[in-house]
Amino acid sequence: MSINKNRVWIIGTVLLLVCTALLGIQWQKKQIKNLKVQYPSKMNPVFLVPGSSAGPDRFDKLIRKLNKHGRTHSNLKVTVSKHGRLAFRGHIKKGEREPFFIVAFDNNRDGYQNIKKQAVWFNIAFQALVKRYHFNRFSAVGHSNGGVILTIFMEKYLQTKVTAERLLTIATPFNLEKTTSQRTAMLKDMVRLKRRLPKKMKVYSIAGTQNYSGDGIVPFLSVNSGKYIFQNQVAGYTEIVVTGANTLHSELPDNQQIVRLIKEYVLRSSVNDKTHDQNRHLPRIK
Amino acid sequence: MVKKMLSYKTWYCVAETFIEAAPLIISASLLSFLHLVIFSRHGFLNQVLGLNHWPLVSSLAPLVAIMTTVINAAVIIFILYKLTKNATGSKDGDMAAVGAVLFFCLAIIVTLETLGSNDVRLAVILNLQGYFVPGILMTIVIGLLVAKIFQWFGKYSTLVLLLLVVSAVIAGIGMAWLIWQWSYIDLIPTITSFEMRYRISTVLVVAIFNTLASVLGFASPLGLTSADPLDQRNLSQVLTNQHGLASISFPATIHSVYQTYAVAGSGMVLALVLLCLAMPVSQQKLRHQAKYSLLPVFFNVSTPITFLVFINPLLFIPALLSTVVSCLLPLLLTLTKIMPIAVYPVSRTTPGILRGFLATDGSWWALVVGIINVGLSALIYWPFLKQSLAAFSQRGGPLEYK
Repeated sequence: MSINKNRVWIIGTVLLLVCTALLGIQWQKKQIKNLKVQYPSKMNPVFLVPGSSAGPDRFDKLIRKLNKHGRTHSNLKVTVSKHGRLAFRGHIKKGEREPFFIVAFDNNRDGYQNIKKQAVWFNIAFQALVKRYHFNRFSAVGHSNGGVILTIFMEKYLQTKVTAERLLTIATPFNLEKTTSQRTAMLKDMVRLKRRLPKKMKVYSIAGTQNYSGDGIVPFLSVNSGKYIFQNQVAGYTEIVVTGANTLHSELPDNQQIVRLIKEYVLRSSVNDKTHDQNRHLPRIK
Repeated sequence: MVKKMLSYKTWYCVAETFIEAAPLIISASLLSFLHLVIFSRHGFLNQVLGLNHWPLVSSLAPLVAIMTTVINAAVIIFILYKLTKNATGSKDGDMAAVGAVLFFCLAIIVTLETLGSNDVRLAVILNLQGYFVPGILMTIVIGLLVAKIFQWFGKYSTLVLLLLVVSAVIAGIGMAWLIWQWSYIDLIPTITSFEMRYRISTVLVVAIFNTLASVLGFASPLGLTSADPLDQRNLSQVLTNQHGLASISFPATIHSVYQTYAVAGSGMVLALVLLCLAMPVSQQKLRHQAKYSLLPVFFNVSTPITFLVFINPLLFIPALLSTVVSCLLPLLLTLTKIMPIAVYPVSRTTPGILRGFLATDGSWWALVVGIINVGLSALIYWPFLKQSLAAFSQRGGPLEYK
């Protein structure tokens, strides 16, 4: 009798153990997968996207200036062909936390139809880089139409498992070259899809004003139209106007003032490691 | 040793009170099991079965939580009342018991008022949520103290009651001050800030200290949070794809060793429950308690059986010994890289045997170690249990385990 009763308890306990083990491991695997997606990766790259007619070397001067003082950032240049093939140049140092990925396009012509294609090509490059470097957060800088490409990418193609932290656009014509407040089809499309923008992203839009109306190519009014897309949609939207020397449209990426703004607002290396690590290791409440 | 202790009237009273309170303790533990494992959002079964999405569960959860707190508070008050009455022993027994309960309740109310209504630490420290018998040691100290006072000054019972009220207010303010000053949660970073070469001994010291505190009925001060900074760094390394589980930097941490492999109930009491269940039918009382303890203890809600350890001081030895032994085997296997290191967080109510298996994302080695640890702990408990049962049988009366 006693042996039988003991057997019941032993069998019951073993069954309970097996059931909880099976249920537990299934759930745990799902949890770990989610944790890996949510956990900020060590690598937090900065994408640099040039505007129309510019190639992958467009930001060389800017990178030299950014690397001049403090931590240097290695860079990888990616050119996307019309058929979506990728050509890589440069290399990323081992353990690099904040590399630059410069994404340029074989077809780098202006116009909304081309820009839409360029956003698709950018997505191809982006997916390949995520797969290769395992990052789950990034920031981006776009010059001129590069800013538009990035905005369309954020609205249409960015997947939720990767977090866009900061976007800085330099002289980006959100309303093309319009000098009036009449909205182009491109602006209308971007405004229509603005709810899909990452809610936690911070956006800085820089306008150059060489003269009263703009930087010589992009009208201030067009840069200013960015507010219709980002305002009240993202975590923060700030417009900055840079005037004075080197504020012509093509000179803006190398403008000393803008270099400083990129360092301050986009690059994480300006935050010291200790503070950064402390923040990362804060205990999390279950 | 047990025989000698039971010959003291005070200790006999304590043991007798706990045995009288056993049905209430078991009810509280079963309700705690429902609350912590099934209805709480962080409960093991709630998480793995997704119960939180069931409307019935989410609507009943607040009610179950309140009932758990109330019944655990009732356990304290019942034990306090009975113990004081038994220990006073004279006609003043009832008056003394009322005085002790009054003192306790008033002190708690003053503490809560002093801390402010938003402060829930008191409930955590008194553990009214029910991971184990709440505040045992405090209850016993208050009960015995009040009983002694009434034995000495029973003639002036009204004056004594008045004094108890005044001292309860002072004690309440003092307790609030202590809670402000000494935050349990800061203990882990302090203890773990030793140099790396002392890590293994640090883990063992933490394990012993924590087991002792849990078995004595304090809210496990080091188990409140997994705040060992090295655990966070291990997790960070794994999640950012820098290392596999076998080669992360810190194999000896509180989570990877103690919390994962040596907590099958505080003091590995799951082994004790299984031993009690394996007892012959003649030990009906013991088997009965073990039967009702199995489910809560399996999910680390170790309330009902812990009091058995408490009234048998001899069982403190295997409780501590089995905790240390349960840390050694995983330490050896992870340091020699045979077994992956337990890195991933698991719920507090995850079954003790499975904690390693889940925290290593399904390592069979970890599962085997979990089972071996319970087996080893049972072997450690066995001679001590046998000896203390013999002592209780010889003593006879309500304490006899038959």
